[in-house]
Amino acid sequence: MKGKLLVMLALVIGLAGLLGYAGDKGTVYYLAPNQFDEMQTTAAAWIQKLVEEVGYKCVVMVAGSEDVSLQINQMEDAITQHPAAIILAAANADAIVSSVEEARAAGIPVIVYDRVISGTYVDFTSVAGCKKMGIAAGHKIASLLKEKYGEVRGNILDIMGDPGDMYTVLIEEGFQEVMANYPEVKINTKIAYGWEATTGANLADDWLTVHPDTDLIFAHADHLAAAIASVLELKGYEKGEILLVSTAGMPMGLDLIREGWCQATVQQPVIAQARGVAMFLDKIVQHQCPKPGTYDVGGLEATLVYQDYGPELQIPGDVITIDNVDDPRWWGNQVGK
Amino acid sequence: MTENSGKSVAVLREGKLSIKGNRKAVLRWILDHMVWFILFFVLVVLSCSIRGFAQWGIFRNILYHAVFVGVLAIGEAICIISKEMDLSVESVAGLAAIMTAWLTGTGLDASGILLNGYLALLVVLAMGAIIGAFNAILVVNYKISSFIVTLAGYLMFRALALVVTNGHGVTRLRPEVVMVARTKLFSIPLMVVLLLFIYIAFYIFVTQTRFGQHIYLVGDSREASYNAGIRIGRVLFGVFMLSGMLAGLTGWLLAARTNGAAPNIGMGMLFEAMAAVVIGGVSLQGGVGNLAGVLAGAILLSTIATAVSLLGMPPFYMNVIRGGFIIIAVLLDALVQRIRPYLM
Amino acid sequence: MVERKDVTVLEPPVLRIEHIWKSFGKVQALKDVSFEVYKGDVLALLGDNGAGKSTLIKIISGNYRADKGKIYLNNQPVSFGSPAEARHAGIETVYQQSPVCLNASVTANFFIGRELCNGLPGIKFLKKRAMRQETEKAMADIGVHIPSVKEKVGLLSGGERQALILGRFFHWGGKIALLDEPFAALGVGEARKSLKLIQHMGQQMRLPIILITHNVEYAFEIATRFVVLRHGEMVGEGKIADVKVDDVVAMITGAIHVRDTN
Repeated sequence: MKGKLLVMLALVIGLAGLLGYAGDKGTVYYLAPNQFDEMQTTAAAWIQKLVEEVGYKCVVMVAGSEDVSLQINQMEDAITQHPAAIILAAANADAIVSSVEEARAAGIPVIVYDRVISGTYVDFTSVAGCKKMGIAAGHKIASLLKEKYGEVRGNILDIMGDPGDMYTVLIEEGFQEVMANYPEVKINTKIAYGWEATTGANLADDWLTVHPDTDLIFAHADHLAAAIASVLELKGYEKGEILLVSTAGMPMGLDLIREGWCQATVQQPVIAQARGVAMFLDKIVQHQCPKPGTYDVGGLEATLVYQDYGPELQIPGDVITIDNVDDPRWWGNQVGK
Repeated sequence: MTENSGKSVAVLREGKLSIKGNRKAVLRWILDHMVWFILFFVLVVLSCSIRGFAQWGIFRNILYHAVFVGVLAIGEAICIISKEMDLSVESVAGLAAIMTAWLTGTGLDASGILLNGYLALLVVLAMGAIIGAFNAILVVNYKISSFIVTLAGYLMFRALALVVTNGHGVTRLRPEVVMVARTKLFSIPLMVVLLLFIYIAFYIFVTQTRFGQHIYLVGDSREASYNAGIRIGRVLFGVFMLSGMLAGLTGWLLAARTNGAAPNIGMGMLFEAMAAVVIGGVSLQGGVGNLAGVLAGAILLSTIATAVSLLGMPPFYMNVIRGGFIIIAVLLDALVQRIRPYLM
Repeated sequence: MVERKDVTVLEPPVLRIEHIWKSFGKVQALKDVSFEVYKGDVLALLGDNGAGKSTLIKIISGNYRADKGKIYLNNQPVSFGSPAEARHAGIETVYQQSPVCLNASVTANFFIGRELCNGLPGIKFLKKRAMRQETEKAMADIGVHIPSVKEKVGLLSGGERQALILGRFFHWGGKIALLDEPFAALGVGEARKSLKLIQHMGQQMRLPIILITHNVEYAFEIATRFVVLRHGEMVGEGKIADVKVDDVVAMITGAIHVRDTN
């Protein structure tokens, strides 16, 4: 019995040894909210890669599946290790505030990745601007409807992700802001709790059965769109008969565009955001303030501005359509290559 | 040894072998508190193998992170000791957390009532007690298996809270709630002190009071308890209500900890609480279990989580290791049960 | 009622069974059974399978109701609707598998449902030491040596468990114990201990016991009186001292009918 215990602990020790190598400049922790979709796994992999390229050791802590409490625990654990910096994609922006303050009080710079924390000052924020992505999606959807009817009108089925995730909430905000200009458009919003692809597919299936006059489906992530596309196929729709717009720019989203099921996806510049963090990491660790202005981040034009909560690097989210789907700059084209 | 006549056993006991008797008593005590020794062993191994692990800050975190599962596990433990099951605790905790946030929060989707945090605690405790009584009515009066009753509760109660908040979380609670999570007494988090206090209180409750004793007896043999005139229904009402109240308290603490409540708050805690209970040596057969072991189980789980985080291992390793520990705990327990009769 | 010239006591019988009849459909399980149990009696209820022993026991302990006949406990007519009522009145059956709390201590089982407490309002704290001492004393009184009253009952032998149940029953004012095949699950050594215990309780402590057993040898060692049932009828009754084992075996198998011959 004890023997087996020892074997298992030896395994743990071995892994510890494996990760024991530290970069010259110290350790940086990346706290990820989950590892369940390609966006999150890509983000974690690229942050680790790019941070290690600039000379730090990078440890990724994952908060299960958006477990707020676990992420606070991990924040506290990270603080005890006095790392060079903590990169944080918050499971919940309000909940993590006191831990962020605790880290900064201990002299550890906190860098926010992707999910804005507005409740306290942080040392750096690198975002796509989910709201801007929502706005971009809104404009694209308006133009698609205009193409169809000559004017912006029609019925939209809007499928959000988990309402606990600010990503979908902000996209919804931006999207609704644009659509408010078009009173002729009817929007029905549904929620795919837990970002469940099956839930999304079922929602679309039921909705289309009752409302065959639907013009467009806006899914808040590509994996939802993929599930919905298979519903459309099963129901015998032609490609493009019901328009499909999505966000994220996952490899599967790009494939949907190539196949013709999906008309557009608003890509989140996942890798560029990670690149932005790595670009400014040395400065931030040394507690210097980055200068506002425009920067070239992996071929995308990013803007650094000062918000109430600190310096923020905003990276545009591009609309990907069949015309530009093979652009090598898209993160969906860089994954696995 | 069972074939010894009563007399010779008595002689053995009173005579020359008293030292050996003491040694046996020590050995017995060690076996009964095996999980603490496992925990100690794991902490030592991790301290030696992970750089930066052996420090007060980490041990403090481990204790702090054990608070929520720890409190929830007490209720689960007394349910299982009474040979019932409460699968609803996680959802009741989630409901309580969201209710707390809804009542005391200033964020979007809050009620706007801005209730005092301690009044909100009373509200969620009462709510936990009512849910517990509801479970108990179905189990005791309608004779439905508690597994089924509380499975339904598991599905229902969290969702009920989301009905109130339109499926959204609520954040930014009143300061007196949040302070509970941020206050330290001599560098020990208040919640850790609270955890230890609750454990001591419940330890005394189950070992030193008549009601506590009846929980064990009812779990051990319904028939013997019934024959002896113990009102089993009343005991089960107490057990379920306590479990519900502890779940309510857990929810309130979680809300304080996360300064709000996300819709998925505390998701998965049922299985952690179960794991703590089982690792702690509580038997699903009923009538057996020691709350001290359950506390050790909860701390062991949070130790593993902390180690996995520090190593940057993907979180699913955490449950691989935890699952391993459950198996080890159960096997060890079986072994102990086999050795135990020789240590009488 | 059966005449008893051999006993000249003023005490009424603890248990008196009068003209009990019971049938299940067409099967007549008991026909006009009558006997008495006095203080100090260990009454062996003997008979083959299907002789009606267990039916009679179940009537006495409240599982069944008799079709005809009466039961008197300490001269009071009683009628039990359930075993719980019988138990409450002071009649308990000890089976081989009588329920005990195996994981609880001897003391906890001894005091189950009757724990000694400090009467704090709302919350009752156990008086553990007092209960332990009382258990130790009670067990010693009935002549049982249990290694430690703190030990769990699950670790006791079958005989020790019976002793605990019996000791507990009489300690709390039990009036008459029905022992249903108490030796069946025990090894030889355990059975001997159990015999001693029953003898001690019945003869020295004068606690009334009805012993139901197949084992006539054992019955002869410890019983003071016997009743033999055959096909639901009482075919023999008397003092153990007055008869030989062979005669009783003959009654059980149907070779002699004591009532007819006497």
